[in-house]
Amino acid sequence: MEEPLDYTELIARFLEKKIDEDEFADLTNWINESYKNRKIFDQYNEVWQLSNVVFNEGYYNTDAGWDSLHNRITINNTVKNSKIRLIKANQLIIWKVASVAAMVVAALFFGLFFQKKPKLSTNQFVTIQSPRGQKSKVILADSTVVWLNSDSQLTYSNDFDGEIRLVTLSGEGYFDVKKDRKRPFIVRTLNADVKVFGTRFNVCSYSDEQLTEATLEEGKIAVNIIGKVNPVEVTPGQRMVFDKQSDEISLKMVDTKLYTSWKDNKLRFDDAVFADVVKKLERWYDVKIILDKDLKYSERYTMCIKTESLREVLKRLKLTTPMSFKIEEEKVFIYPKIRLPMN
Amino acid sequence: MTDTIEHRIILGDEQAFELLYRRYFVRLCAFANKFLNDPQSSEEVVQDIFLKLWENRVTIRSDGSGKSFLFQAVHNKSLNLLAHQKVVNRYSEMIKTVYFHTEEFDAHESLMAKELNLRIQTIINDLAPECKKIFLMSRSEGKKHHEIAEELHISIKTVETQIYRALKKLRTELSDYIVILAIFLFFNI
Repeated sequence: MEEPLDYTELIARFLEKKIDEDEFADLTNWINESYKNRKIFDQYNEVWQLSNVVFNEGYYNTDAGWDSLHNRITINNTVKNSKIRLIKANQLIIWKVASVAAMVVAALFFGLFFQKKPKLSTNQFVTIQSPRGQKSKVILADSTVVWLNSDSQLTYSNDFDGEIRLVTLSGEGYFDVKKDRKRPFIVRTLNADVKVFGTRFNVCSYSDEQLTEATLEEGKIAVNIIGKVNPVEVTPGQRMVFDKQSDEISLKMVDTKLYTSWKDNKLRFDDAVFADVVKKLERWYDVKIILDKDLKYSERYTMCIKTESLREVLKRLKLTTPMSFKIEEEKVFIYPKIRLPMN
Repeated sequence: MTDTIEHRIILGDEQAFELLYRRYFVRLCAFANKFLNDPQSSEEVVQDIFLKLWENRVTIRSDGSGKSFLFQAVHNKSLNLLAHQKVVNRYSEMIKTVYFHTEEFDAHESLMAKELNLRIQTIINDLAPECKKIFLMSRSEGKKHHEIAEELHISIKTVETQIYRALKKLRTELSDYIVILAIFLFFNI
């Protein structure tokens, strides 16, 4: 079967910029005819652009592009930073002092010291990191107080007086947010945004964990799960859990203390499964716990840890679980208790 | 901690940003050039999008992947530029006809596909030797049709026919490949 006119040729001539007046009119008519024709044109156009890239390396120069973009970023930051210094130098200094002071207070409060200090990075974001085994407390510019659990990171812009108060959290944090009806406070995590106006709540979203959790003590929060249309409203005493694997959301009344007491340096478990306990202990004590594959996890645990050492906690676990353990520097090995023959 | 590139960028990780840039710069330029037909303007559009992404990284929230966000942003900006172009030529006229009439038109499937270069090279290698030679002379060496014709002692018409044949082959094979790829992605194989 012969096609009345081969439009490949017309399209190619067009892309090569060799098309004449008549051909152009023909092609335009054909394009206007149907969606299918436009789609075909688009595919040729794409193939054409692709062959430029594939057969002519360096047609677009990534290295040069990156260098120039990198320069623009750096210059922009310098300009912005100097502006801030001119306009609100006082505020910035006070703010700096306040945040450093907050860290010192926190260090005293927890009796800990920090490996990383808050730094004013050139890109105008402040990151506060709580290493494994340690906790920190931060007071933000709006006097919101944030407790950061171990292995967690909080990032916010030092330009905190915009229309919204936005912080990014990776890990677990307890927030006591200063009331401000006009400016919502948003905690952004990998899977969800938690929006509040003034309240006390806990958010837990470690990137290596399946669950994102938000527990509310007081006030009201709305949780926007990424990819879901309606926000989940959480009322006081409720705990919202989003499971990213099953894509399910659950909302339950709980004893909120179980989820927030870590900020008072207490680690609580209520009917928790063994795997849960292990994960929390790893972060709490900054150790790696290695479980023997023969270990059965049928037990449930309810307990509260305050000032106990890791060894003391493991001994307590041993009372109810048929297990043995061995501590080697930062590693803990847990394996089934060797049953000795009776008598 | 194993965070996604997106999350690391939100947190201000410049290395993650550079990684994203290096991974998609060329493809995004090629994508912009579908609309603009001017490599320099295309590069500028892509630069602007990346700059905007970095400056607003904390407030930009793209559902799904950063990659489709980038393509979408480049698409919008290029068409916007085209719509406000003061000098209208034949090329931009045609592009407007194709891309402004169809709202749902958002084809950049092959540009987003993995292992694309390899695929294209395979298709080209499978062409008839004469066809392959002429196509590469035109596309890769940038030779004009009459130069190729002189060099190979053939007619300009033959050169053109061979080039169109190669393009046709690329288009058909690539769109088949993209369909298969989409099915694979859909079933998550």
